[in-house]
Amino acid sequence: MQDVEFNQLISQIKDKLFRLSKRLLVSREEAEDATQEVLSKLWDRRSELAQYGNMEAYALKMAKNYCLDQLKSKRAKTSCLACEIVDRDPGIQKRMEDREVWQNLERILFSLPEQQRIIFQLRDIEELDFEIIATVLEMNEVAVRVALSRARKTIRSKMINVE
Amino acid sequence: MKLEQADILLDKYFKGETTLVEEKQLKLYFSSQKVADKHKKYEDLFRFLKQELEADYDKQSLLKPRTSRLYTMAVAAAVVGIIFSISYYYLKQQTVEDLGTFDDPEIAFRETQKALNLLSAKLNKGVESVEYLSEYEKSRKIVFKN
Repeated sequence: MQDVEFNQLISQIKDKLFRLSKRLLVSREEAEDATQEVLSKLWDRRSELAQYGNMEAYALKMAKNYCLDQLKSKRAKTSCLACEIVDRDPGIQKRMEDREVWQNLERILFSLPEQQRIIFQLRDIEELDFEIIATVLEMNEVAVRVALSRARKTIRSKMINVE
Repeated sequence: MKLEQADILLDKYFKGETTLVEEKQLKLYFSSQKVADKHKKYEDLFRFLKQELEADYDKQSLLKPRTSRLYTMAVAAAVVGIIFSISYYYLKQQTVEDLGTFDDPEIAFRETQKALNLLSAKLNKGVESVEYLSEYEKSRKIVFKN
């Protein structure tokens, strides 16, 4: 893959990689580290990328694997990930209610099992096709839909209970 | 979007059966001012989805030198290791008759302290602290025979 092509690919997917990493790792800093790791690995493999099929799916799968590994090694320590759900960039949220709503949704999403979290992120936020999501997770599309449905229903019930 | 259509789509949504186009329609519906009362409880969710797309990867981070922290920690570890080995040597020497060139253990102790203070004072300066190792070496060679 030419460098120009590579840079174009990177600019399109870096934000998705970051957002997925943040959905899994919660901390912005860790998500940035993870994204940087994945981008540099992609750079190392740039000449072979063509053989890996859909490159967006490949990159997202790399990010997913890296983040899940990070989570596994964190489980050994007792750090509280949920505690890192802090305020977002002040520009995006102004009202106190908005912040609480956002924090609440972040917590609900964090309470989902990782697989459901990934599927929800890639479908509801990144608006990706089921084909790509299935590739990223190495599941079939039916299984993805089932997990997605579970995730959405859990979110619904947890949101409604709060009110 | 009419109430009935929204109802149908929402039902499909929670069953995981909506297409991307239908999901976009739902997102549009919830950002409009015409959300039915019975659907208002889902407004926050769909607004959240829209907002989340705004989080982006800060390019600045790409420029941050990644090795600096590792390097500083490596230097700090080396310095700490040196301090421990000095303490070890000093403690060991106390049980040995031959205290090197200093007959008076007090003077030997003071010289060691000077050496240690010199080192610890430079602890935070990363690379520069390594330069002071030569100064420390001179003092150390005076105090201990080896």
